[in-house]
Parts: sequence; C-alpha cells; structure tokens
Amino acid sequence: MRRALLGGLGVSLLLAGCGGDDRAGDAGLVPDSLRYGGTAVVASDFEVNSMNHFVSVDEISRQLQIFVLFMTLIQYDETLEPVPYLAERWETRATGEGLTLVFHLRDDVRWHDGEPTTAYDVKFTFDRIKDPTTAYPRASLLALYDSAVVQDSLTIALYLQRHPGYMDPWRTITPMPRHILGDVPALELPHHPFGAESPVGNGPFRFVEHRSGDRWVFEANADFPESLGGRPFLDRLVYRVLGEPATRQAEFIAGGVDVSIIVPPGQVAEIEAHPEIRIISYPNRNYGFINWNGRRPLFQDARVRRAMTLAIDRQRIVDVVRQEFGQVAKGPVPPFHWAYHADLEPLPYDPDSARALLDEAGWVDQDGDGIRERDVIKASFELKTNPISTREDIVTLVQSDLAQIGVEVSIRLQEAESLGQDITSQERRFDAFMLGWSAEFNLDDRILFACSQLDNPFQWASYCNPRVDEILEQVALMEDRSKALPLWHEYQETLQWEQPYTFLYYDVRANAVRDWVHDVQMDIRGDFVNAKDWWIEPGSRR
Amino acid sequence: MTAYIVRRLLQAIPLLLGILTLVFIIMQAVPGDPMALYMQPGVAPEVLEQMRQNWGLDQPVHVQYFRWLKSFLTGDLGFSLTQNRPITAILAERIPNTLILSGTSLLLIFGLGIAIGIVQAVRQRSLLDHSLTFSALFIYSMPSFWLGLMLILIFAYKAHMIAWWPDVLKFPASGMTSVNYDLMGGWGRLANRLHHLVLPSIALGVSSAASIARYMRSSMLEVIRQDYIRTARAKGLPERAVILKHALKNALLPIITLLGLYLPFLFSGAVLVEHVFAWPGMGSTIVDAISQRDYPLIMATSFVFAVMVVIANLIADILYAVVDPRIRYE
Repeated sequence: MRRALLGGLGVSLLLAGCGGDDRAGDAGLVPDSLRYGGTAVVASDFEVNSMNHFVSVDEISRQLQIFVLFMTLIQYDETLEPVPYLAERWETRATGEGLTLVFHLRDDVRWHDGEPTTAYDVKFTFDRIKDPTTAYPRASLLALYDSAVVQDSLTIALYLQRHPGYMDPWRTITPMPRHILGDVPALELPHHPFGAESPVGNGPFRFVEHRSGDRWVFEANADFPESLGGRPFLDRLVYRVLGEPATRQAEFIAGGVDVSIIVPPGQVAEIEAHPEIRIISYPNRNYGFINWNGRRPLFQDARVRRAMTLAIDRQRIVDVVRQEFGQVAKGPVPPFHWAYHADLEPLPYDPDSARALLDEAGWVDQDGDGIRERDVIKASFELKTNPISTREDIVTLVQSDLAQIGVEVSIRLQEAESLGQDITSQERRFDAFMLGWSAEFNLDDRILFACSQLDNPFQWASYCNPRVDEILEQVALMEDRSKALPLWHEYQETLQWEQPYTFLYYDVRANAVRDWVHDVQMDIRGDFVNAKDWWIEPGSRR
Repeated sequence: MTAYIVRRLLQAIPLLLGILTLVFIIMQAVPGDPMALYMQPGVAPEVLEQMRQNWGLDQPVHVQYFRWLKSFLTGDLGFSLTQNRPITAILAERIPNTLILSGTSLLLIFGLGIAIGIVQAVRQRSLLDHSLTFSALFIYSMPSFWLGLMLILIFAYKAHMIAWWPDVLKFPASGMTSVNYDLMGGWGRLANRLHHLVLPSIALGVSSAASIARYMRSSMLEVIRQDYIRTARAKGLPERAVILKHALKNALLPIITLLGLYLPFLFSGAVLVEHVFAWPGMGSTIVDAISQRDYPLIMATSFVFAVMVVIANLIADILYAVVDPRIRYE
C-alpha cells in the first residue's frame, strides 16, 4: 500500500522539519488527495465479540458499530445536538399525548453487499428491539416508543410517548440488514454467523476479517456517499485486542499500534516522554463510586454515609491514583450532562466534621480500641472491589482515611464475575464496594435509586426516598429543560446530603495517538467518532 | 504394538470422562454466572429468565450435566455463550495456533536442552560447565509469564529505542502476524510468522530447556563411563563419533520419557504466555472462558487439553519402545 510514494516522501520531509504543536498546522497543508492510504491500528484490552447490534453489550463494539461498520440515523455534533446521518431529515408531529417522528432516509446508502438501505431495515431493527425474546441489552432505549410504520421505502414513521431525549436512541441504534437477518428467529440471532464471521454493514468501513482474540480488520468503503465525506482516508482500520497492559504499552511505543484506547493513568507519563506520541484525553461518561449497603446497620444513617465521604480525601485519589485524569465527583450527574449542577460544591475533605457526625449518630469508641461502636455493633466493614490496579490503590487509600476516624475497613479483592453476582443478588452479599458506572446521555437514574427498584439488580444501595422517586419520575417525562433543571438540581443536592454512594471521581479517559495519525478527534461521543477523517502521513504508512 | 496403542486409547476414555466430570463439578461450584454479561440496566429480568431457559441454565446441575454429556458424546460441542459462535469453529481457529507455539517451544526445549547437556557432560567441571549450570538454574527459577514480560521489555521495547540495534533482533511484542501480513509475499509471510514466534516460544520453553539440560548432563555422564564407550574410544573412533553415535542414543532414553511430562507443563504455561503475548490460542481462550463463566467453552477447551496430554504421554511411551529395543509392549 505504498501509493503516492514520491509525493509522500516530499510531504514527510516537509513535516519532519518542524516539531511539536506546529505539526498540526502544517499537516493542514497536505491536500486531501494525498491523505488517502495506510492502515491505522487501534488497540484496547476489550475483546470485541460481535458486530451484531442486537447482541453486543460492550462499549467498544458499540462504537465500532456506530462509527465504523454501520450508520446510525442521526449523529451528535460537538454540542450534542442531533445532525443528519443515515436520515437526511426528520420531522415531528404532536398527536395528543403522543408524538409522531418521521425519518427520511438518504437514498444513496447501500449495504456493503450492494443492497440499498431502506426504511424496511429500520422497521425490522425497531421490531426486533421491541421483541423481548431478542433480549436486546438496551431495550429500555425504546421503552416509550410504541410502533413503527414504513411510509415508503425511504420514510419511516415512529409513534412514541412524548419524552425528553427521544432522539437519543437513534444516535446509538444501527439499523441491521433485513435482507440478511430478516428470517432469522430472534432466539437464533446471537449464534448467527453475521455477528463474528460475516457482518455486512453500510458505514464508512466494510468488514474484511475477524480473528477471535486477535483482531478485526476493516477497509475503506469506496461507495460511502460523497456528501457525507466519501470514502475514508484510511485504506484499512485494524482493531487489536491486547489484554496485557504492559504488552500494549510496548507494542504501542515500538510503533506496532497507532492508537491505544484507555491508557492506564500510571502509564501516561512514560508515553508522554516520547515526543512522537500525543495523549488525547476527554472527560467521559464514567464515574467511580463506593456503594454503601443501606441494609447494614452501619450505613442506614445518612449521617454515617456523609461522614464516610467527608473522611475520604477524594482529591488525593484523583491526584495520586488517577494521576489527575479525573475530577472530584459530586453526584450521579457528570459534567457532560446538561443538568449538571455546576454551582454545587462537592463535600470537602474534613475528617473533624466526619468524627463529629459519627459521634452525633451514636458511633463512639467506648472500649478504647480505636474503632467506634454503637451498642454491640462495631464500625467495621468489608470493602470489595475487583482486582484492577487503580481500584486496589483507591480502596487502600480509603482504608487508611477511614482508620483516621475510627472506622475499620477490611479490603477484599474479588474476581469480577463473582463480585457481580454478590452485589446484584437479592441478598446483597456485601457491606460496601468500589466500582464504576457509566451515565447515559439520556440519564435515567431510577434503576439505581428508586424505591420501586429495591428488588432489582442495580439498586445496590437499598436507598429509598419518596421525594427522589417523585423527581426522577417527573424529569423522565419533562421535555422543557428549563422546567426540569430545578428538579435535577434538587435531586443532586438531595443525593449529596444523603450520600447513598460516595461519589469518588468523574473519569477522564486518556488515549494515546502516534503523531503520524492526523485529525484524530475523541470526545464524549466516543473514541472513533471521526475515524473516517483520520489520515496517516504518507511517509509513515504501512 | 497396535494392540498396545488401542488398549491405551481405550484406557484413556474413562480417564477423560473423569476429568470432564470433575471440571464440570468445579465449574458449577465456582460463584458467578454466564448470564452476568447480559445483566444490563436495559434488560428486563424476564428476558434474562428467558435466556437462562434457552441455555438450559435453569435446570438442576445433574440434568445439565447429563444433557451436556449427551450432546458432547454425539459430537455437538454447542455454542460459546460469550463469543456467540459454534465451539467447533473456535477450536478450529485456536488449536493450530497453540500447537504452533508449543511445538516450536518443544523443539527449542529438546534441541537446546540436549545440546547444552551434551556440552556440559563432555566438558564436565570446566568453567563452561559451571557457568551453564548457573544460567540453567537461573532461568529455571523464572516463571514463564514474568520472563515473557521481561523479553517484551528488552527485545520489543527498549531494543526499538536503540538506533544501532539490528532490525532482525527487534521483535514484535504481541500477536502471530503483523497487521500488514496479508500484503506480504510468501517468504515475507514466513519470516513474519517466525519473527512473531521467537519471544513467546522462548518465554514458554526456555525454563524447561534448562531442566532438560540438567537431566541430559547427568544421563550423559552416566553413559560415557560405561565399558562400551571405553571400547569405542579404544577402537580409535574420533571423540565426536563416540559421543554422538554411541553415547547419545543411550543417554537420550530417560530424556524421551520426559517428553510426556513436559507437554502438560507446556500447555499450562501456554495459558499465561498466550495472555502476555496476545497469542490467539487455546490458553487465552480458556482464560477468557473461565473469567466469563462460558461453561460450554470451558468444557470443550479442558477436553482438548486433556486429550493433548493423553496423546503426548502415549507418544512418549511409544518413543520409548522405539529407542530402546529391550522394551516391548506386546
């Protein structure tokens, strides 16, 4: 793939003459015609098992679907407003309580086997998602959608109940080809070879090869519509699974990998020491938290939970463990979200107030052993997490912080699967655990904190406050943001006061990119958001 | 001989069944659930229940066991719960990769180990002998995954930073082939594959090679004190012929039995080494399967490993008869 070799050499010499930040400026001088070609290798530790949208659950496979292999009806621009993609326009009509949303599809998008992408594909995908036997992992996306009707081969009408963020599902649902999967019974969808052996997309890249446990290979789709930018600059995009962080680091620095997704904070400094590599970081949708089991006597009292948060030096966790790739968290609404409560001050690090709160709640050290008690119950608990080095470091810091206020913590590292089973079980077999959670654009926290969900797997905190329920019910249906905002703020203030979780930090993701890959944009929307615009310096192509 | 092989293979059947039953029981006793992957906020509990029924996970353990056994005996390995593919397809993809890696390691173990052992025995108590003994013990005490990481650090990372370091000795840190493998010519592909094999096969094999060298040394020392060696020397044969023709064959006898012992080591070592080098083989498959509680895949991979070990032992016994005419299995 050494096309335009001579021209390429000229350009790379030009680029070699300047360093640092000027490069991006000079790279802008490279005409589009010289940008085509080369292979970009992206590596991460996630095994991507399926390109079948009905089946896959992890974030990276979803990203490869929506940005690489398939197309979504709409995309988000940088301000998170919907812009046309597979749908060239749409309109809405109010019908009493409900809403009719009509999408008009582009007429120039074809599946990679040559069939046109039509409204029938969208309808098929919609119906499969609504069918419970499909077990679509995020069926709740369309919970308030009722039905879909094809008006003509490029027009589909969707009937739904009015709710905020009703466009959001169409940013992430990729229509699947009806002509291939239409006759497959829902129960057999997971096993269909479409997922891992022969996926057919309609996006900017087409599928070439999948070697399980090793790589996915995609190549440029030459027929991608010109008005959407035409074929991608890259000839090929390779996704590699490198599970061992040290191996990934070595492979990346040695040049075998061009883009490394999710670099552990501890490795960033080493990467930054190399001048030809840049770190792209952005606040993502994840946050780290400690969940207190509200059924345990120790954690039933909000004052105790607040004391825990006051006693934990969260800024130190961000600085030391996250290496500043994070921000001290206030609550379940991360800063990317429009309803984020910017004026709310996070609880400070204040062990003295924490001690006072524990005293007030009746937890005092009566026998002088350094650990508080109330009646016969000791302020002692087990803090679980799964063995990831940053989490191990965090729970160790928490242990020492809480020892300062007379609370004894024993740490238990538990393998992810069995930990998951313990915390989601009805019996809630844990005292407290530290994990992460990902907030959606269309945030609905009822599964985490609503009284109605107490028996459901994700209500780990066993937290119940009727006012919080009321707020969450209301904002889920309130379209007018200016009316919903005060409620969202009240929600965040209430949770900060009651601390069902100690919200530790909002995550900032660090990705590493080699300088010869240009125009890489990564933000809250995803790591592959503009993969079709990436291009590689002609002299560095392989 | 044929009768012997058939008898051994028949004996292996209850053994394999026993192993599989044990694996099944242990696996069921481990906390965790293959459904966990699908336990997402958007999935209704009824849907999970439906999936559990589809996969037969709602049945009592003994029913699940016999159901699995029945389909296994009829040759149906089922579908992987996490990779969503037929297990036979996964195995067909992964087994050759593991065989390539452990085969190369095996060659390395025996080739290197035997050669070093001979040199040490011939030059007994020399400086060379002592330094080889020292390095053999040094390497032998290293765990393979740690050695793998160190090899990556030195030859796949630091080496790339050194300008004068020859390109041939800059090894890739991971995988079986480069990303541009498909664009290479025939010889380029072969070279690329060999280049990727070097570090993992060393990491996997070198500590066993060290111990083979120890065995080879003592076995050789024993043999070269025998009368017939003295006779050979007295005939005026060159030392080279004495060692390689007369002594080697007899000294190899105990080493060959080790083959059967080392293969299980190799396979268990492959589990970690494949993970470190992102080598898409059986080892990394079984690790992923266990961590995701992919029951059918765990059973199938354990079965393959068990079969490989049984066959390896059988081969060792047969080889034993081949090199030592005194041993007869009839």
